[in-house]
Amino acid sequence: MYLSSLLDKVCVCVCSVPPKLSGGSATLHSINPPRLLVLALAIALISASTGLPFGPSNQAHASPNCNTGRPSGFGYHWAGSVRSDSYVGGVYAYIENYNRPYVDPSAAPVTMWSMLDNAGAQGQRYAQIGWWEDTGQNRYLFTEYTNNTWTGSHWAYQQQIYWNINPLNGFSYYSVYHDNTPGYFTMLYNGQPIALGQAFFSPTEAQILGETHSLKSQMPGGYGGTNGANHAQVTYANVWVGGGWQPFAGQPVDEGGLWGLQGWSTTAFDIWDKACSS
Amino acid sequence: MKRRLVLTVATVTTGVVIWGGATSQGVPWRAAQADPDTSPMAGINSRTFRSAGYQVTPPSADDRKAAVVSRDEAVTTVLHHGQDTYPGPDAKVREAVLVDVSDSLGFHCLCWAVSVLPTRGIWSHAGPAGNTQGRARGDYSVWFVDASTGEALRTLEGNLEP
Repeated sequence: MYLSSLLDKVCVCVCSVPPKLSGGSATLHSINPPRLLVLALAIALISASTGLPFGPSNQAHASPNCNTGRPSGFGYHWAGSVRSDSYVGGVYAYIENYNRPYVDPSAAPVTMWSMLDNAGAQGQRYAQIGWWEDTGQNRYLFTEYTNNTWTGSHWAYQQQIYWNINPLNGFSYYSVYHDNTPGYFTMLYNGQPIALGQAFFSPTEAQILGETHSLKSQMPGGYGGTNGANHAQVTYANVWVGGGWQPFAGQPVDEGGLWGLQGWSTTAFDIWDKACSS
Repeated sequence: MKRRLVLTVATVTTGVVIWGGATSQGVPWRAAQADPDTSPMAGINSRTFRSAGYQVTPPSADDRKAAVVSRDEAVTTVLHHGQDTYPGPDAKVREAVLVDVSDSLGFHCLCWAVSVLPTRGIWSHAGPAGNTQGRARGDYSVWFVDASTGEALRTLEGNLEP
């Protein structure tokens, strides 16, 4: 089942969450982080008071650092949601800084991130921001993007790791804008621009995913808990499509039932590792 | 003999015309030759730093006096970064240079730039779903360690720009 169709069934008032825009001429510059935060706070309070199953949960996670029992060995694995369009000029999401996944020391790290990308004929190009956890339970912010040089096997990339920014517990906004600074991708952490990457492609896709590099590692989240409290949660997910912010309403990314994926609305979903109980 | 002379003159003339045209049109290879690299690091060129949004320059003599952290202390900070396995105590240090680092978003420091080859190599940490191009391998990894406080601030890594 497509996540978007599932999301449509439960979409109630969250569908109107996109941040305040300045009329029909709205641009990426019109994003107003303070208003967004006020809106987020208001929705969180409504959610808490009504028990509606959306928005970040304050309940503690019960399944961190679990032994998945799966074999070690390098390989990409993803869980989350992807949204495609002819042009996707931005993405932002309030992503849980999940505490904490088990990380296979032979194939670190485990990450969650948001991204703009373009699946070109010669490999994918992208700009992203998120948290990553190394072995030893070390948690950092990272950004990564491709530039305009084909190495023969992949697009050259530049990655930055911010050792003094440690997103652990709670939620953070992870955003990527295209052309907000003309000719560049801007990666923002909690609304603050933290990296610029020259834009050599026009993004046609946004992704919000958890990622591991080994089956032995834990995909962020565990099953169980009231209203999915043990899941790794993504909320207030939006994309810039058709000249304005729209609910993310993406397609699911799962791998043969290894990961759990539940949509709460067109702007919120959870992921978890089915091997990790509460 | 006369024909050979004419041929030689024609060849030289053609070469001069092509060279002159390339110069006046700013053909890339000419521009690249005319753009000396100003990076203070032997293994990472300025184009790579610019590609990542950074300007990295040698510090002034006055700035150098503000460095209270030694090169060895900065290297130790990198190799024994908390309990990290990255880059790992067995990482190979390629070079460590005192530099001025800044970006257009307000970041600036007098830092030790410590270039290392991590124990487990240099790899992209995350990529798009559906990635079919394989795991992206980087060429360089440089840590910026604050020369005033000794704190590791950022690591920049990836592929070198040609």
